[in-house]
Amino acid sequence: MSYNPNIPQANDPRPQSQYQIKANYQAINTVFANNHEPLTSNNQGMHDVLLMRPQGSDPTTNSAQIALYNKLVTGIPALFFMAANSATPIQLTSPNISTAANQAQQFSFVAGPFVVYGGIIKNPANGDTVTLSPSTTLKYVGLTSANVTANSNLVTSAATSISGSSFTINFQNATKIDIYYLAIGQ
Amino acid sequence: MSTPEPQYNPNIPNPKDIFADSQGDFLTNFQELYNAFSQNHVALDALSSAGNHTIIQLLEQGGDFQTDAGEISVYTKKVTNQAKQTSDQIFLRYQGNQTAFQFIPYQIYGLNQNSTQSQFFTFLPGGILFYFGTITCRFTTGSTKPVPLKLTPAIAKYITTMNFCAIDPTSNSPPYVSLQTPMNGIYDTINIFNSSLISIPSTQIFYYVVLANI
Repeated sequence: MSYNPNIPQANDPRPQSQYQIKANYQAINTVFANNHEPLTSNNQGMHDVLLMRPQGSDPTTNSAQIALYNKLVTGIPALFFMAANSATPIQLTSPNISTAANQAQQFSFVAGPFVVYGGIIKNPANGDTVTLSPSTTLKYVGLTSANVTANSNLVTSAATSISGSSFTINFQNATKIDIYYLAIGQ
Repeated sequence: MSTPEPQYNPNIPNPKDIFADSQGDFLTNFQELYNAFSQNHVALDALSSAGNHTIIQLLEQGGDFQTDAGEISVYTKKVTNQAKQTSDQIFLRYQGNQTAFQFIPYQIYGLNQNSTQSQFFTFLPGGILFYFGTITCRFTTGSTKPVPLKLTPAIAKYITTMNFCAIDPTSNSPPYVSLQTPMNGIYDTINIFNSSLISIPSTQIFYYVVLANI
C-alpha cells in the first residue's frame, strides 16, 4: 500500500486510521531504505548508494548550492555537476573507459567530458596513420620515443595531420622505434 | 538494566490500540524519522530547502549495485592492494549493470619537489595515476648516461604512456626514454636520454606527463 499524506481525516473511524497510519509508517520505512541505511539501523539516514534517476532538465542552484544529477546524453545516463547560481552544467562522466592493467592502449576521461588516450605503438613506420578508438575529435597529441637507451640515433617523433581521431607518425629519419602517445579528444 | 534506545517501529499502531496509548509510539517514530532524515539532508523542519542534501556519507558496500536502464550508481567499496594500502574508494556503475569501475582511484597526499624535479599527481577514472611536472636534465656531452625521472608515489604497476616537451625553445628536442626494470613489480624510474645530437646543451628542462595503472 502506498504512502497516503492525507490521513487521518477528522471523522475517520479509529480502526480505519489505525490501518492507514501503520501503512504509512511501513511505506516510509520501505522507501527510506532505498539508497539509505534503514531507519532501524545505527547508521540510519546515511547513504549506501546514490542511485540517480535521469532528470528531464537541469536543476537550479542558488548562491550557496551545488547539484549533482543524472541527465541523459544521447540516451546514455551521465553524471553532471552544476555550480552555484545555476552555472553552466559540467558533464563529469563518460561511457568511454578502458583501463585494464597491462593493456597497451588505454583510455579514460576527465570532466568536460574529454577522452584521454594513452598507450604505446610498437614499431610503427614513418608516415603510419594511427586511428584512436573511441572516435572523438583530437585536441592534443604528444609522442615520445620509447625504449631508447642511447642517443646514437636521431629518432625524434612528432604527430602530424591530426584529424578526427587520427594522426600520422613522423620520424626525423626512417628508423623504426616504439612510440608512446598521449592524446586528448572531445 | 539499561533502557533500550528508542527505535523506529513500522508496525504500529496495532488494531486494538487506542490512540492515547499509541501516542508515545507515534512520537518515537516521528522523532526517529526526523533524526534519520537529518543525516545528510536538510532537516524536515527547516525553514527552507527541507529534503535537500547537505553532504553525502557513503557506507562501504560489499558488492556492486544493480543499475537499471537510465540509472547511474555511485557507491563506495573497499579496494585492496592498491597503492600499498586498503581503502574505500568511490565506484560508478552505468546503466544496465555495466562493468563497475573505480571513479576515484587514489588520494593525493604528497608532492616531490627538489632542485631538479617538480612532481604533481592526480588521477583518471579507471585506476590511472597521472604524474606531471618538470624535470631539469643535465646531460653530459658525449655521454649516453641517462637522467632518472623518479615517480612519486612509487606505486605504478604498469606505465601506460608518457609525454615530454622541452621548455627551452632553443633546444626543442623531446628526449628519448626507457623504463627502468621494475622493483617488486613497481615502476619507479624512467630514464631520460638526450636526443639532440646537433647541439648538446648541458641542461635541458622538460615538462612531462606519465600515465600509469596502479
